[in-house]
Amino acid sequence: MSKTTEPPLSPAHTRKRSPRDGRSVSSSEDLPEALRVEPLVAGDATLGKLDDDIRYLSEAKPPRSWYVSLVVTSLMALMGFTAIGYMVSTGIGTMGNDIPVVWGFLIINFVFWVGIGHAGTLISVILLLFRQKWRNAISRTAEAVTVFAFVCAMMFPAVHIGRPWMPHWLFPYPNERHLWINFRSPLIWDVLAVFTYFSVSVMFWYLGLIPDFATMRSRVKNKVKGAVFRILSLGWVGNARQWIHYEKAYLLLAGLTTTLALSVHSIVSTDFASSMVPGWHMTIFPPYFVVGAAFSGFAGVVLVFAFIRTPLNLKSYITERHMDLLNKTVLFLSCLMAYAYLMEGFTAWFSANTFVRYIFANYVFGDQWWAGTLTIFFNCILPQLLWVPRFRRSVPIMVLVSGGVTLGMWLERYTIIILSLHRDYLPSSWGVYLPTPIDFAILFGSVGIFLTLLLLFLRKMPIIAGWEVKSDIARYNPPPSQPVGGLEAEHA
Amino acid sequence: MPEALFGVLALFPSADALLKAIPEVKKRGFTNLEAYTPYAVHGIDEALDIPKSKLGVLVFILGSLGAVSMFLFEWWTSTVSYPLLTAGKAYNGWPAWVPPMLEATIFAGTFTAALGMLFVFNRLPFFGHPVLRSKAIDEITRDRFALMIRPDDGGLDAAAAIAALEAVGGGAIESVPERHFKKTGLAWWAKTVVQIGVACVVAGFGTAWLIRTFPTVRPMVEMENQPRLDAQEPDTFFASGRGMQLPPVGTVPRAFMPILAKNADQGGKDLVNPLPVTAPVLERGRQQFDIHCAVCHDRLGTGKAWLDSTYQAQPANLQSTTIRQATDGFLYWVISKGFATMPAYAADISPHDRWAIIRYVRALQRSQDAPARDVK
Amino acid sequence: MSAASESMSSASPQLGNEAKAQSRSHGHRASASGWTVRRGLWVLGALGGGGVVATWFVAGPHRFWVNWLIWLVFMVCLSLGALFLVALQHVTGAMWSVPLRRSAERVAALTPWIVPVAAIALFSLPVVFSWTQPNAASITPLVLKEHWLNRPFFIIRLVVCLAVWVLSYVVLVRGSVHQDVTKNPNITVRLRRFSPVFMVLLALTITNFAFDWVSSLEASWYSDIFGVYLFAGAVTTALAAVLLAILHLEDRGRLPGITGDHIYNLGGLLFGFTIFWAYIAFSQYLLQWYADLPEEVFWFVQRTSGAMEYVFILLGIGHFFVPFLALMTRENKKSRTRLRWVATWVIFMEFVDVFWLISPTQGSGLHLGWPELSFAAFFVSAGLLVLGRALRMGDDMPTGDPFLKAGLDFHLQ
Repeated sequence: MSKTTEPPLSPAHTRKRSPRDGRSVSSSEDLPEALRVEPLVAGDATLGKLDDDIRYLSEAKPPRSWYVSLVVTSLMALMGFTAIGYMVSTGIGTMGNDIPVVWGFLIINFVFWVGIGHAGTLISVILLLFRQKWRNAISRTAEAVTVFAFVCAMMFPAVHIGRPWMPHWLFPYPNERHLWINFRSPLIWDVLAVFTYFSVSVMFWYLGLIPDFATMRSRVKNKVKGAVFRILSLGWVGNARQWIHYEKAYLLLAGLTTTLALSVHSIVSTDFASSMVPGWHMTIFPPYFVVGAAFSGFAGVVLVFAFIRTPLNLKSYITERHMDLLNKTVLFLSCLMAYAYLMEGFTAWFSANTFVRYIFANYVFGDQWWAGTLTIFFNCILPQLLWVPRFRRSVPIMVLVSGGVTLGMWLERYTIIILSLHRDYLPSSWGVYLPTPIDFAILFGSVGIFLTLLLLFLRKMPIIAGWEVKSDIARYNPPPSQPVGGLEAEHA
Repeated sequence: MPEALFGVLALFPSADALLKAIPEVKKRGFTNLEAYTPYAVHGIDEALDIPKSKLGVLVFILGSLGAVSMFLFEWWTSTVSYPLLTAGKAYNGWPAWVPPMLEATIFAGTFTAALGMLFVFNRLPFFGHPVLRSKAIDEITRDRFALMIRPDDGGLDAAAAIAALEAVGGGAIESVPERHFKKTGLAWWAKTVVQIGVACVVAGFGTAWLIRTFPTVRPMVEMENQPRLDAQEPDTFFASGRGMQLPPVGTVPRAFMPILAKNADQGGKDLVNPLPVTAPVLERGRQQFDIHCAVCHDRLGTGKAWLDSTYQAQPANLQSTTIRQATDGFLYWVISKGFATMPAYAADISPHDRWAIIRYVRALQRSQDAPARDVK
Repeated sequence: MSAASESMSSASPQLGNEAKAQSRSHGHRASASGWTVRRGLWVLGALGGGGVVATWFVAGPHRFWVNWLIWLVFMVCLSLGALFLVALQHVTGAMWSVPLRRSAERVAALTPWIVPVAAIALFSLPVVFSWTQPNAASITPLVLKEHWLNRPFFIIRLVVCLAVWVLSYVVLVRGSVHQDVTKNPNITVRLRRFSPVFMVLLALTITNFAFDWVSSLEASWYSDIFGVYLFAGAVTTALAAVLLAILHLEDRGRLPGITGDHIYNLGGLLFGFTIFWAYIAFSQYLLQWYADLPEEVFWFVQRTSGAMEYVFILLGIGHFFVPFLALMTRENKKSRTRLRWVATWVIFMEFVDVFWLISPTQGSGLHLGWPELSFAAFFVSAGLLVLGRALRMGDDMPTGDPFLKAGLDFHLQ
């Protein structure tokens, strides 16, 4: 039948380190430069060296800059907690919430943090399903970002419900009035979704950590730490049967968590889309929010790695190729966001609904035109810089773009929530939202909480998924076949 | 005397070396093999003939169960237990139940996958695995791949095992002794259950004492005392010092007709019963009489009802001549303004009902003194 | 529809000259059964064509145009979905799909045929579209949209879409076929640069097509996810068609080196996109059901009441639950027989989807009769003949692609 002809190869081609995922491919020298693929780990990485590098990070005394940063972020977090305490004890009126803008910074922050929280899930889980090996080195930190972002996110629904000492009303339990929660309400779907997502993220993160805790349990010098790791590793031994069940669970969790990630932010979007507020009731909201969440999540991860790669000496494992691929994903998502904005704008006009037409014009031309315009600029225009391959590997550019994306996504939620509410159907009901210092204190406080947790994680826990990267290293840098020394054989 | 062996293990420098060694060791007659690796090595399940994990089946079953139970729960609460019309949706608007059902499915599925894998299939946490006490465990979790020959039915020939492992290139060969644990028999279970029970009882009593001793903290006291004017609060804004003001002189409630008569006699002369003597009026009068009047004056109006001797005053006997001779207007004034111990019923009975009651009272009076022709 | 899985492999002896004249064909041997099937398709197509013409005169222009539009949209979905898959392989630089890309390129061979079908469909404008009706000038929402929904602009947009699609087809598919001969790796570089551009153009044109040709049948209705909805269905059905083509070729030993792992991946993609379609479809339905705005929900009422309710239920169960459950396990994703059934079913369900979208327009309810069958016979036969011819031309795998060998060496880990 049809012959498959081989591409022109040099006959002395051997299986070098360069091939993608270790499969045989034409050697790099024969391909045009644009088609060559870089390795995922540095040439000198070995399994043992990876262990030492990971352990060093959590055992060595952190530099002074870490302590200083920790103090700063802790103070920010403290400011946040104080502001929350004051707000809860005095009343919602201490913030800018009022008629007509009844949802303010608290819900913006909630959606913002939930969005960033999608980082870990998407990197860890969806890329796993697509078998993208480059997620291995970054998945553990990304999952940590998810868990910490969710810790921040969950604070907000807890405090913005007006009477936070009655949160049990959100859960279905038999009560003396025989009342159940309103399952038809997207706000209840939210409660269930976020609760599920948080617990599943924590569990998935912990599950991935079990073999790494096992690696560290006997090697840490601190006895208390050793005991903690011993307990947390659950007696993991690493035999083949354990790994088989473990991998199956990992894959099943990946499949289920993908669905979860997609559904959670879709449900958050139905908080808005199921209403009739002009600008909110658009059917594209669910996938639009999910894409936005992925977008802010990836940008957040890029920011984290851009800052920690050099100080923490991670360049052997989180290579330029990783950053390149992350930034490519940011660019791709930015194009999807541009599509979503285009669709919203067009459909707003196409709907022939006066109120919807007005509100979208208001987003970019109205009294708070800066919100809509800056959103589009930071989310769609600035990331286009990433088309240039050189920029995708340049730390200043990626910090600029990803920082811009983070800010832009916050502004997007601001635009959607506050601008739609402040001018809806009746002009006599129009109003403004005046954020108070408490609003800002809570916002920056949540950033402080996130950064505090992140700093602690970076220096106290294994930040790279050791067991996952080891399989990559084994593929790229097969260990030399030499006798295993050091331990003498025992005879019974 | 040598203690029982859990197995003999050897370390290999790479996964490939391990995978190559396995069939060689099998050829030498050792069938019960285990491999320990720092990461999941692909191909090892085929090499060691380990069957695929059944975790997926468990997750599917319990996940589906989660989906169905959540959906049924939502259906039951929305259509059977306490149906509420919200946003004009039908009670059984099923699209709204899909998101929570999805979340419940995922929750059930993921926790089944994780906990099932740990507790059911891998029997973790278990801190007593013999290999945890071996010298090789540090290397295994770092960068070495171990193959262990375990005893099969006929026991383990340690020397032959060591020789086989050496022959295939394994290093740092180690014999791992077995570990023995006390069996968890009935006594242990009974002891554990009793201990848990005692702990629960203590915790319960302790919580009860705590709740009784430390009253519930009310976090937002300000929401109870808000800077707004509540009923009956004083306020310096008004000259009267009161928050609630009296209505201006001459204010009348809606649909209110004042009684212009100044006393009962004048009322008796001026007020005229506007209602006709019809069955509906009398029925209404009967109903209202039984509600408001019969408690003191008795159903037949005799004045001997449920008040006993401790009640100083005596309700009037409506069958008496005095009342029979009083006009409707007089009775109306008495009902509205009260008379002696009888309170004013103007606030409780509408003017229409008062007149209806009076019509009924007349009927009662006639009933106790009916001429013969009425009885026929 | 089971004709879809029938073999279309070889040229008949009379057409052997044509095959040689292609110069890229490697001389597929004639097979009597293949020729018989093709003859049967010609007959079926002719009968269907007769029924199609008869529909105009007997059942009326409205019914004729509704059916024509259904098949136009279905055709566009299938070919654009296939082009998307080709571009996706270039953009991601995936290895495993390199050997399979030629089959996707062949399914995309329907693209140039969209032009005549769409040109004829332009005559349906005054008949089925609500914004061309005489009363449109009195309906305020339609008046407010007339800068977009007017005939000249509509035709210009169609021409632009068709131009984009045909040009992209030429670049992507002809480029790849050309590479078979020249073995020039720079073609891959160029295709990798063009594919992201194509993706952007595809997003815009398929959205525009969905809005213009499906959504504007009821022009007062709007849903901004509609473009994504049609896209999801398009990719799903294209995946199913490509899967069928590959299984067909593999059966005849024309794809040496393809293993169960490649098939598994395709099955996995089909699984994923089925879920994606269901997600998009359900979010649209849920949001419009929930808000219950009269100006929006009437569209769904048209499609969920009366006999259409059964089609709606069939769509939900058949387009989501059946493929979802069937493709869940690894064994099912590797089993050739089961995949054939599932892929055929998915293509059928996508057709039901397009039918459900277009058929009840303007409240006409469910019409299922000989006109629909004739159109099906005509278009299915024609499509299979075009695809059959494409399967006979050129190499079965992109032999000029520098990553072909790597793709064939792919193993699931």
